[in-house]
Amino acid sequence: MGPQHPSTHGVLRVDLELDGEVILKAIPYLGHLHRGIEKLAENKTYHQVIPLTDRLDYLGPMVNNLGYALAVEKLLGLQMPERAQVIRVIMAELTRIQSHLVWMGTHVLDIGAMSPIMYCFREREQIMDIFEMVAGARMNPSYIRVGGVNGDVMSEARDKIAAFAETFPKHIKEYEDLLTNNPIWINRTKGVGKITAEEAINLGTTGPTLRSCGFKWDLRKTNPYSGYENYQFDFILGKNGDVYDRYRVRIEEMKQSIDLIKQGLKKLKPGPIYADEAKVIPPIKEKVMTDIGALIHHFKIISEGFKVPEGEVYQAIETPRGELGFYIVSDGSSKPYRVKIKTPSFMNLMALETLAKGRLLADVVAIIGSMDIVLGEIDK
Amino acid sequence: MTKEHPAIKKLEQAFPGVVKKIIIAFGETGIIVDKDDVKRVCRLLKEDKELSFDLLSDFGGVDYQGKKDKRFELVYQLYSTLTHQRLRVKTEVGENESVPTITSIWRAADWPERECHEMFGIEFEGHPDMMRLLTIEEFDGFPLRKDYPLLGKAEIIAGHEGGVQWRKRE
Repeated sequence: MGPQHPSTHGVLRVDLELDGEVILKAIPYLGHLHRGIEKLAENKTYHQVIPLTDRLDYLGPMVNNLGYALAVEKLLGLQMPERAQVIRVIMAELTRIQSHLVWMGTHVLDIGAMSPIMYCFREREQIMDIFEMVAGARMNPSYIRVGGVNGDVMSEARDKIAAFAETFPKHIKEYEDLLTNNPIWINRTKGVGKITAEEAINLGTTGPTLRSCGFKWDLRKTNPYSGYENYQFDFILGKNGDVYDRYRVRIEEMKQSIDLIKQGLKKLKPGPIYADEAKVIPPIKEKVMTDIGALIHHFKIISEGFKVPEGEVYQAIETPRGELGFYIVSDGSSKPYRVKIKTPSFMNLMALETLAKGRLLADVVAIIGSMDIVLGEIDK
Repeated sequence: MTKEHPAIKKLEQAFPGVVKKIIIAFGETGIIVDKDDVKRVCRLLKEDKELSFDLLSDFGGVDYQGKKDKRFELVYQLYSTLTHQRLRVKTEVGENESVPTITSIWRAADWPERECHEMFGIEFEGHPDMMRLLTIEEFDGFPLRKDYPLLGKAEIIAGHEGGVQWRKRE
């Protein structure tokens, strides 16, 4: 199966050993999209690594930026201003929704329902428009930077986010009307690809896949970052750990994200969007144009990069897919000595064999879809 | 996290002298152990009821060529789903040395160990399947070593029928 099978969501090849229609073995082969991002990162300045993180999980670029920025900020000891933190949370939650929308559209399409993908992309388009307004790019925004965010959320974008948060819950209901009680959908997903919480943890699985087993896992809650401790939200849990429960968990997560965005918009008070650290943050553009000191400062930061104290950190955040971790070793220069990226899909895909064993061939499509893998971050 | 990280106390009690060094920085705790102790340390950390470091968050290597006596360092990022704490276990490995696998403790270590093997050339004793993971079988060299050139040593000029042919970069 693969690497060009439409249901593998990218370039994944799976060797299936079958007994008739029953799967005995499912071995994934990776690497078709390997770009050596970890090696590249060692040869770039800290600032230049941000566009690379966009290209890991191309459906959740903002959270990738966030994870990396938080790790470097930990090394630098930077404190984020309130507004930057709130903007980051809003963007991370918008990313979560748009990632789940693409997941739902393609996953449901794999199983044979044609219409939801049209609806999903209709709503995703609105989020893409918001990203374009805020960051200037739709897919790879590189918006969250070390020390802050690149550009403020203006009132226009703010109104658009608020309008989206108002209308989106109605659309979730539309998807649910199509699927939640649909007998065909239930037949294809209930009891398929089951896993217990214990097995899932042993296999390193995180994110919605682990939550669907009923295990209380959410780094936003247990190890909060970027001010998540100030938001009201609960664990979203499934029960059986099958494909259907993963669907339920993600639907509920979208509702939760909308709630978090609404809370975030209330917290959005005027203020700085960059940390107060001249060694890391370039001066504002108007100053660069008029002041020679600022121009030199700007030039130095852009050409040489900023120096980061020696040491090592591991920073993990909760992405739409699970735990994304950046382990950064710094030798005190302006380039990272080593960047080890723990990507959630990489660990989650390891569970494929356990999930697919003993199931029918047609279920593999449902199982791969339900794990919501992105090959960009598996192959790195 | 302070000096009294509960895990370190427990480890000292169970295996005196096993923790070679404790590193506390940036609010994170790391310990360095001998490579032959990795397995029993990990097993204790995972199976102890109060610590319960049951999730292997991440595993990878770092190449310290010319900077440290032993060239490589392996880093195990552990996470406890019970106490929500993290612990970093590190071990130093020289060139051409092998390390016991921990796949019997966490199945999650399977692919990361394979990745580490192909990127750094470190052998893992007892690993069920040490095939290359992200690069092709014919690949020459270990890309994440510091002496491996950024552009690679060679590029593929033909694939498929004639087998893989490489052109060396100058």
